[in-house]
Amino acid sequence: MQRITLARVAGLALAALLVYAGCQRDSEPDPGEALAAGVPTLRVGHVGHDHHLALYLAALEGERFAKDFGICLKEVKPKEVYDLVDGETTLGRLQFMKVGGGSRMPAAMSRGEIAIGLGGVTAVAKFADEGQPFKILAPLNTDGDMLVMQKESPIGNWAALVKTAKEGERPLRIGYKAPVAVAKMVFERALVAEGVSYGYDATEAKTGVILVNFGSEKSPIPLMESKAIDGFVMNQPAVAVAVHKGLGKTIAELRDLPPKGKWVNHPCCCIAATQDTIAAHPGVLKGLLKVILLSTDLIKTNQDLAIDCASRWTKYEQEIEQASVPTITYLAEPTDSWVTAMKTWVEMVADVKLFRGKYAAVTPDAFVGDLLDLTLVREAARELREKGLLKTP
Amino acid sequence: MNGKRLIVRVLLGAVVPLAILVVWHLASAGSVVVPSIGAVLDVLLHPLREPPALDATSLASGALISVLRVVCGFGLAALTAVPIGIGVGRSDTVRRLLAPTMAAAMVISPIAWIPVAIIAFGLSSPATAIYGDEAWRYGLLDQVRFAIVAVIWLGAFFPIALNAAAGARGVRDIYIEAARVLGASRRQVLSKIILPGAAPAIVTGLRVGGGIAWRVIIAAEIFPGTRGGLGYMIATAHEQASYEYAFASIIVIGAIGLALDGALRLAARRVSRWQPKER
Amino acid sequence: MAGDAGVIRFEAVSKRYQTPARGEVWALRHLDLLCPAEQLTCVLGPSGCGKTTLLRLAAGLEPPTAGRIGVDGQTVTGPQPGVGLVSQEGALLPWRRVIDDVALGLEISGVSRAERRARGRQAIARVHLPPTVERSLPHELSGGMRQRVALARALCPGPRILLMDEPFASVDEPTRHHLQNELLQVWQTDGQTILFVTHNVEEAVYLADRLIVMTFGRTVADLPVPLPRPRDRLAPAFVDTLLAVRRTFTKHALAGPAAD
Repeated sequence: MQRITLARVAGLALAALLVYAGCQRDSEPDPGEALAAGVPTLRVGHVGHDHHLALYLAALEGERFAKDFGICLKEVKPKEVYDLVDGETTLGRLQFMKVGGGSRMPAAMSRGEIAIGLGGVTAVAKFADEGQPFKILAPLNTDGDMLVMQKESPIGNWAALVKTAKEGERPLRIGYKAPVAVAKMVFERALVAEGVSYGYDATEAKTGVILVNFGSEKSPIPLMESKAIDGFVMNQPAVAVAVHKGLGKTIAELRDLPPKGKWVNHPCCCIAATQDTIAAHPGVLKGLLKVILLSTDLIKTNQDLAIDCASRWTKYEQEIEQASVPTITYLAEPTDSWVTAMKTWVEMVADVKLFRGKYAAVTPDAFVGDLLDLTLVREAARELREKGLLKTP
Repeated sequence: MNGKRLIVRVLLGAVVPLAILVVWHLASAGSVVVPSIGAVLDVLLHPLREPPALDATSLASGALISVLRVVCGFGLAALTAVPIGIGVGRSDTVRRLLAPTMAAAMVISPIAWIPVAIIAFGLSSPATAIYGDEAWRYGLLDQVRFAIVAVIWLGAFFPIALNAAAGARGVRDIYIEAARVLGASRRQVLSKIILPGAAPAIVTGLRVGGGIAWRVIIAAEIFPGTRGGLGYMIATAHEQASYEYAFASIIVIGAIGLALDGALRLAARRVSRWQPKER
Repeated sequence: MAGDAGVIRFEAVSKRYQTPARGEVWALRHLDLLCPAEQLTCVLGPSGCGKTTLLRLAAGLEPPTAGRIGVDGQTVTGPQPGVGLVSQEGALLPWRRVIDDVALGLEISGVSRAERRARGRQAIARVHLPPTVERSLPHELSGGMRQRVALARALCPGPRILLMDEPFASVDEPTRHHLQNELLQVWQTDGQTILFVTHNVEEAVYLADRLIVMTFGRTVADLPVPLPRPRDRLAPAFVDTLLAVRRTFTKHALAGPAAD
C-alpha cells in the first residue's frame, strides 16, 4: 500500500511540476511594453523561408529602420512578437505565426486565427474564389522558380532538355511540389509551347516528359537522391538546398521559359488580409506595408545584409541563402508588369479550371479588380517617396 | 545469473542494434537523406543547443513540449475514459447509448481527425484561452495546443475506455454483494470494489492508450502554427534537408516511448499482483 | 415489530426468476420461516431447492416477488446494518490484504484506521488465525483459511444476525469439523441469530437448534434438535436424530414439488 502511495505522490509531483512549468511566463512584461489602450494586437501568418524575407529583415533590423526610416518593427519577443512603431506612436502589436505554406495560410485566415497573411497567391485566390472575404494588399516577391536536373545529367540548358525529351529513348521524369504550384504550371506551358508531349504516368509511349508529384514529403531531395526523377521544378529555397547538398544543378530559371517574356515576374507570394481587418485597422496595415516596402528596397540595395538576415531568421545556411536570394525578385510596390503577370496567371489557371466559385468565369481584369486592393500600398509608397525614403524606382 | 551467462545475454541483445549501426553507417556514405552517425550523435549530445541549421527550438525543448502535449492529451483521456468505460461496463443503458459509436470511432486512426481538430480548435491553447492577446508570454502553455491535445485524446480514449468497460464488467457480483451486505453505498461499491477490481484491465488500457498517444504526436505535430515539439522538428528537418535532426528526433522519440511504456508496465505489474491466482 | 429484535421472519415469501433457458422459475413459493433470536437455525435442502435464494432475500440483496421478510424487527428493503453474510465462496476481495478485507465493514462505516486495525486483528484471532496472516493476499491462503477470514470479516462489525450459505462446503472433512466448532464457539460467546444453510445432513444436525427442511422452494419440515452441547457425533442420540432427519429429508426430496 505504501509503495502505491509513493507512486501516486511521485505522479502528482510530476504533474504539478509540469503544470508549474507550463504556466511560467517566459517573458516578463516590461513596463515600456505595456500596450496603450486601443492599440490592437494582430496576428501575421508567414511561412518561414526567404520568400518572406522582407518581413524578417525588418524584424531583425528594427534599430536600423528606426534610425533611418522612423518606422520600424520593435522586437518584443524574438521571432514572435513585434511592435509596429511609427515615430513615437505604436500603431499595433504584431504576433508572428509560422503557419506554413500552400493553403495553410488562407485556411488559418479563414478561421480567424490570423488577420494578415504572407503566402502564395494561388491559395489566397482559391479561398477568395470560395467566398472568403480576402484581398491581396501587395506583392511580396515574384520568380524564384528554377528547373533543376541531376548533377551528372548531360542536359545543361532548356534547349537540351527539349531535345532530349523529344528524341530520347525514354521519357524524362520531372518532379513537382503540387498540382497548382506556379512552377509546375509554367513548366507545363513551356513544354506545350515547345511542342513537347507530357503526362502524369508512364503509359503513354511517346511522352517526352512525365511529371512526378513529390507526394507528402514535399521535398525533392529523397527522389533526387534515389534517382527516381531526372530533375524537378520548384521554388527557392528548396532549389538552393538541393544544389548545395550536391544533388542537382540549376539549368534554367522558369521566368526565362518560352513563350519568351510571358513568365517574367510571374507571381509568387503576396500580403493578404480579410476585408474586416482592412476596414478595422487601415493604419496598422499601411504602417506594415511601409515597413515591407522599405525592407524590400533594402533587399535590393544591400544584398549582403539581405542574405545575412535570411540565414539568421530561416536558419538555412549562408551558402544556401547566397544561392537563393539573388534569384528571387522581391517586389512590394505593385508595378504594371506585376498586374499584367497576375492577369496572365489567371488565364493559366483558368485552363485547369482552378476556380469553381465566384471566379469561375471571370475575366482577368475583373479578377484583378476584385481580388486586389492596392490602395493602401500605393498610398504607403507615395508617402515614403515624398520623404525620399524609397531608393529604387 | 553467473557472469558468463550475463555476458552472453548482453552480447545477444547487442547483435541487432550493432547490425543496424553498421547498415546505417554504410547507407550514410555519400547520402544526403541518411545522415552520418557522427552528425546525429552531435545533435543528441547537445540537447540544449538551439540548432544552427534548423528553424526550431532545442532538442530538449522539443522533447519537453511533445511530452507536455502527450501528458495533457493522455491525462485527459484517462480522466474521461475510465469513468465512461466503467459506466459502459456496469450499465446496460449507458452501454447501448455509447458502445456502438465508440466501436465505430475506435477503428478510425486519430490522424484522420487532424483536419477536423484544426477546424475546431485552430491555434488555440490554454494560454490563448486565459490570456488572449498576451498568450505569447506563456510560451510553454501556449505550445499545448488544443487541436493537438484533442487528437491525442482521441487516440488514447478508446482503448482505455474499452478496457475499463471490460474490467468493470468482469468484477464478480459476489464481491459487490459482499460489500453491499456490509453496508456499502453505490459510491463505495464503485470506489472500493469496482475500481480496484477493474484496475488491472484499466492499466492495460492505459498502456495501450499511452502507446498510441505517443505515436500519434509525430503526425499531430506537423501542424500549422506550432514551432515546437519533436514532430515539428522532424517535419522541418525534412523541409530544410537537415536530416540529422530528423534522425535524432526519432531516436529521442523512441527512447521516451520506451520509458513511458516501461513506467506503465511497472504500474500494471503492481496493480495486478493479486491477479494470477484469481481465476 | 418491536419484539422481533434478532429474529428472522419470512411471511408467505415467493420469489420468481425469469431465465432465458427455462422461462419462469419459482425459487421460493409461499415460504414461511421463523428463526428465533439467538438461535442457530439450519436450513437443509438439496441443490436447487432455493436455500441460497432464501439467504439472498434475507440479506436484502434482492426483493421478494411476494410476501414479507422481517430481519431484526425491520422489513427488509435492502441490505441493513447488523447483518453479516458468509457465502459459499467466501468472496474475499482478491486485491486486499486479509487485515483490510476483514475490516471492510468498519471501513465502509467510516471507522478510523487505528480502530479498524485493532478490531480486525481481534476478529482474526477469534477465528484462530495466526497474526502473520494479516498481510497475506487471499490467493496465498488455503481454502480453510479463506473461509475463516470470510467469517472474521462477517463478525468484525459485530452483527446481531449471521447468514451463512454453505460456508464449509468446499473444505475437507477435518477442516470442516474445526470450522464448525469455531463457529459454535463464537456463537456461544456472542449469541447471534444464525441462519445456516447447508445440504450436509450431518452438519445440520451438529450445528442446529432447529432444523428446517426445504425442497422445491418451500419448507416441508421444522424439526427441533434438542441435543445437548457439545455434541458428540458418535453418541447414540446424535446418530438417531441424524437418521430421523435423513429419512424426512429423503422422503421430501423424492416427493417432488407440491402443487401450488
